[in-house]
Amino acid sequence: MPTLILDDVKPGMTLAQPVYTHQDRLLLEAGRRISEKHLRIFKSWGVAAVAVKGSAAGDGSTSMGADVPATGILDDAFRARFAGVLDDPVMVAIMEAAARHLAGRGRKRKVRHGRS
Amino acid sequence: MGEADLRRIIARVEDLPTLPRTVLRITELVNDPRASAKDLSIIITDDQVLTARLLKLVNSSFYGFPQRVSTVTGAIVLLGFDAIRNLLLTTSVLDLFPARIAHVRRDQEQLWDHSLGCAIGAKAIGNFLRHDKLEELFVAGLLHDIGKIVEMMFLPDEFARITERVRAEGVLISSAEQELQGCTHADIGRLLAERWNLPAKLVGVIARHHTPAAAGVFAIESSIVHLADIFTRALDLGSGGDDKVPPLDKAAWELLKLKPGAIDAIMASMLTEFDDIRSFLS
Repeated sequence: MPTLILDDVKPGMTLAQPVYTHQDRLLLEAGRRISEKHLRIFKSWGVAAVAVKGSAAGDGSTSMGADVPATGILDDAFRARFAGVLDDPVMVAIMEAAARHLAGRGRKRKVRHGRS
Repeated sequence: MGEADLRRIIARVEDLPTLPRTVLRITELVNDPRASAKDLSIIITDDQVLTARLLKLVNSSFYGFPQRVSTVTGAIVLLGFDAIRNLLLTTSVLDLFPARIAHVRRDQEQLWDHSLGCAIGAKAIGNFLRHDKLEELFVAGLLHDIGKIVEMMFLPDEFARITERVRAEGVLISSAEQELQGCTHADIGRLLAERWNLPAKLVGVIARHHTPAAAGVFAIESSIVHLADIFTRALDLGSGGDDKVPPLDKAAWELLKLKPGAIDAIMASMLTEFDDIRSFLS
């Protein structure tokens, strides 16, 4: 169940977890197939990443799931920063959110460098 | 902190810099209910550096005003007295600690980045909670680790031992401080803030950002800065002296009543603002 930043989510993928706005309003239930329209709605609500079913390995996408650290963001050094605090589910949520945003930030920087 | 440790620290920081007269005058004026925007404008325009900083900030995308603001009075009317005081307090504090030794300068720059991240985070969390004093939260975040700057500059031997312990054992800096020095940067920051006669709320947040539940009437603001500190470390913005993310104070989290879904939005806002605001404070 990889978590993908929104740029890597393709129409036709299936949601593994429901998507909420930051005010906890449900945008799309788990199990629904994602359409172009859904992607536009996610973007307009500022959704950074979503969890999709299946494996995203090999398609060039940026996975951020704790089980699929494709970008290296969830590498040992990153996890070590959270040593001793992950028995708190809120801290787990904070770590996962930070991983998603750091992956997105890294990608944006790479794109900027590539164009300069 | 033991009494002997406190006395020793006070003795060592006796030579701490004082705030510039202009900032003190502005602080007094802001607290005077009869003062007008014109009175404040006269004091600020007397100081070219403060004037330039103020206009640079008010015209930055941090505030996002659609039209260019070219006068100090215009900036005061747009931002309000408290925001002006906080801005000038912030930039003046940055000036007070010029580091001349290269490695200290690097550590300081990392710490200021961490402080800036925390300031932006505190403002973003406050915005989410509809807190009515966002500028105050920004300054509280920026100054929460001021005690570490004092340690770097005035207690260099102790600070070197503390950072060595952090590196060798991977402990939180506050644990190493307590063990080796008998007090933490929060205690030292409180001393400095009291000496500068900073508002009681700022003193409270600086003293209690690791123990926000004990901050009494300032528990909300201390909890916001506590959480902003955690977000800043999680996002790797600068360095607070160690590379660890401290545990979340459960009482602080419950007090703020933030939903887990808010974390993403706040972090996105922090990263967007960080690069922008860093450019005009550096």
